[in-house]
Amino acid sequence: MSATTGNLQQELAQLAEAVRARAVELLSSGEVSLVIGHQRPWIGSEAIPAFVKASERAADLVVGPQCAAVLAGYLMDEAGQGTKVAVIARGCDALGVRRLIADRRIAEEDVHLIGLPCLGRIDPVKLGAAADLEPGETVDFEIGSGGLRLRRAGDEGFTDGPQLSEVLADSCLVCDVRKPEGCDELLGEELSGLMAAATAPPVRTMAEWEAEVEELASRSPDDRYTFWAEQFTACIRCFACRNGCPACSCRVCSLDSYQPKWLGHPTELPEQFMFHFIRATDVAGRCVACGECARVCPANLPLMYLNLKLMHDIRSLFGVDRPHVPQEIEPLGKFESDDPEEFM
Amino acid sequence: MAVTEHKTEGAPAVTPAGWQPKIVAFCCNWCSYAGADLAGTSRLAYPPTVRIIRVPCSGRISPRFVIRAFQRGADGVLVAGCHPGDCHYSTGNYYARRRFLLARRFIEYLGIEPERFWVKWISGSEGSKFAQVMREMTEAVTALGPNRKVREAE
Amino acid sequence: MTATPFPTGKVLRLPGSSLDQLVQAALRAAGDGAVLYAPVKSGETWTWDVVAPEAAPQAEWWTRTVNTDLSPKNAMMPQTEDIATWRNRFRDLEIIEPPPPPPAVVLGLRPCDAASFDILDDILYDGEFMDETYRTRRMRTLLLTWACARTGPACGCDAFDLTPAATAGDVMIYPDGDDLLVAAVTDRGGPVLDHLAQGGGARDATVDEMQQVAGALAAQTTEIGRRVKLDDLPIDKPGEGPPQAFGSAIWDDLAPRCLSCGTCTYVCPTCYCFAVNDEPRGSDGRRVRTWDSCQYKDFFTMAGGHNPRPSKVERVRQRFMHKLTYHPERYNRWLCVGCGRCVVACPVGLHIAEVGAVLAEAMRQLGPAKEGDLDGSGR
Repeated sequence: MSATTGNLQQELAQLAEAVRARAVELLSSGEVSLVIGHQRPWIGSEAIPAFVKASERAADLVVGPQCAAVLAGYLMDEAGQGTKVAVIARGCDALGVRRLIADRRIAEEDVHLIGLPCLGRIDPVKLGAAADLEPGETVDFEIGSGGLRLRRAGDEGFTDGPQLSEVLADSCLVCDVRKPEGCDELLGEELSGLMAAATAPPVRTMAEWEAEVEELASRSPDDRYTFWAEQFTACIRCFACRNGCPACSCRVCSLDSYQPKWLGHPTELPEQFMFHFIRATDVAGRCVACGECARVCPANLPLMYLNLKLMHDIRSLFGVDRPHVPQEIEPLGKFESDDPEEFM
Repeated sequence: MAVTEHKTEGAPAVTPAGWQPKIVAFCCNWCSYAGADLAGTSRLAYPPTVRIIRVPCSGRISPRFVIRAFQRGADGVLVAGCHPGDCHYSTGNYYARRRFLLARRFIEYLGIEPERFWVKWISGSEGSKFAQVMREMTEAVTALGPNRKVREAE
Repeated sequence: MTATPFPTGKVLRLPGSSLDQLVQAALRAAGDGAVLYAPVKSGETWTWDVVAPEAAPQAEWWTRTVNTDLSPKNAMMPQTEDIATWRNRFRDLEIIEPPPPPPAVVLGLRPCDAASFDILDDILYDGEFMDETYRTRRMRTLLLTWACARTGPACGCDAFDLTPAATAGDVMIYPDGDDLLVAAVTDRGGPVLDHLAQGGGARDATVDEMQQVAGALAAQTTEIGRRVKLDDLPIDKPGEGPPQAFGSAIWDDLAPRCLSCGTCTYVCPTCYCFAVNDEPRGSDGRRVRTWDSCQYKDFFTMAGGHNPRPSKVERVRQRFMHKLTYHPERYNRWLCVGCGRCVVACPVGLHIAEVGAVLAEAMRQLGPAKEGDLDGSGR
């Protein structure tokens, strides 16, 4: 994703200005009471969620590959309070919001989606490995013509870093909505470099990513079980994956239920399996492949390999072309009389 | 959290002589449960390994029931419903078909042997099919031995 | 909240390559059947667990690695712990308590993590909230604290009145080049040195030598320590009304991004909330204690359904005021050791470094509580 047209770094700065100006417009006109976006963190390299209510704070908003959290889930608390909420939406944010609307969790008229072209999100684990950084290290980024440029805390200037494509999150490598879909408006359409990068074909397709599950699926049952048992043993049952997921929107989650108690409290392997099994099968058909579950996990579990398996099967069994995009009715909410019948 | 060896949880590592599997069968009231009933009244023999849980419709069955059964000591799980098109509630088993197509592949993906989890259409008049399925399933699960995966410690 | 001085007793110098001798000496001192807790990788996460002594990391692990992802808290307070099991047969109810935990050695805690047990002791070791299983484990566990040759980008012990070589635990290990300088801190640490001296790999060293090395390590500062000044966080005297910042608007600004996921609580060495639940199986069952987090939406939901902390504002305020004002008021200690795990683990950057800085500034601006100002809001 090198800048062949325009200077990406400059365009990102212009996009940020456009975002801030639009936020000021919407807030001061009273059209929205809150703008959700990203802002610089107090420490570290990832931009954190920003909740801008006053126009003076719109200057805090930032854009770029350092923006981390998917913002859609916040609408569960913030939307429907009587006034509109705007979301500065990358493709994943937009899909998450559309997911919440499709699930009737929030009302379409309560949200104003402002889409922007996206280069993808930098995965701090990949960046740490490529640029020899430690967790929590404060780093500033620039997009240079040859790749990322990094400025570590305490350094004067930027030094050359890895290619952006080397350090993008897995879910960003396959993203086909870097020019977001289904938004109320789109900013940055005049920024030719960003738009070209956003509309270029992804580094790999979703189907190719899904196919990685085939390797795991081809191992023996015992090997597969051992793999997942090791992963789930590391799980600390913090529920960050559920809380960060735009598809997990139940007001009362069955994992929290006491009667019936689907999930016991002990963090023992049978319960660990049950937790991830229930979550994956409950979001099956509704996952938007934003990768937030894997991003927020403090134990770095490869959670997307659960969702990808289900998406892969939905694609091949039910002929769903883009399983991660919210449909009128999602695949498990409907049927065909000639659905396949394996082993039945 | 302690890293536990999955081989040591649940059932003992050595299969005791004369061991018979516990199979949990979720049967829909209108077809497969009636089929099981018919197998009984027709005096068709099949191994006494199955514990039947009657549900109104196969569409009621959530995939988590399967994992719960394995947690609580089942060695095999059967989900049985009406043939597509014959559901008493018209469409319940169509949803179940999609759901269990996915769930069966997913349970296998997590490492549980595919022979332990079966999904079958058994109608109210198919008593002999019910008995046949139970015989085949018992044989297949016996060959695998007790299930230790996701099983709770005694 | 002043730091404990450096140890003054016997000091031994041990080559890092002979770390196993220290492990063996500690296991002998801990008692028969003693088990070793050491950093271990679980999936992609560095945590603490019982390992065979041969499987403990080599000395260079501590040179290379700042700290584990999860705290050693589970050595004293496991995430899942049986309280009792019951077997219920007709007219015959048997209640079985779990066997007592074995003696233990924890190898290689950082000073922040070792200090966290001193803080947990405030609540759990004795007094009105004494926790039997915590106390039992604490009494039979030897802590071998490994001072930090370097600090990490998220470290902040110096913001919380500690240093990278703070004296804590039973035995201090100070890295000095390829060697380790080992000194006993407590009476229980003494026998470890005695056994180690008999091992043959260690030789005597002087207190001066050790204090020089320790002093240099302790002088390291961190970015968070430089940016977060809590010394002048005015702590209200207990009993004189609610803490000043309770009604402040800072919580409305900080709370919205919280995911209520509980990750901060679970990685934290000083968080100790737990839930007790019964897991019945027919007529049998067990009562289990598991970690819990005040950040979960239903943490404070009571029978009847009332939840006094229904929104993130109340819950986020609770967490940070507990750590920064309520606990210090009562026990004269921060309920935080600046380990930095929440800084790294929080998916949305809502951690004690930023909140501490924001709260300290808010408290400075609020000034002392006014009479009749019940919630510190100034009204």
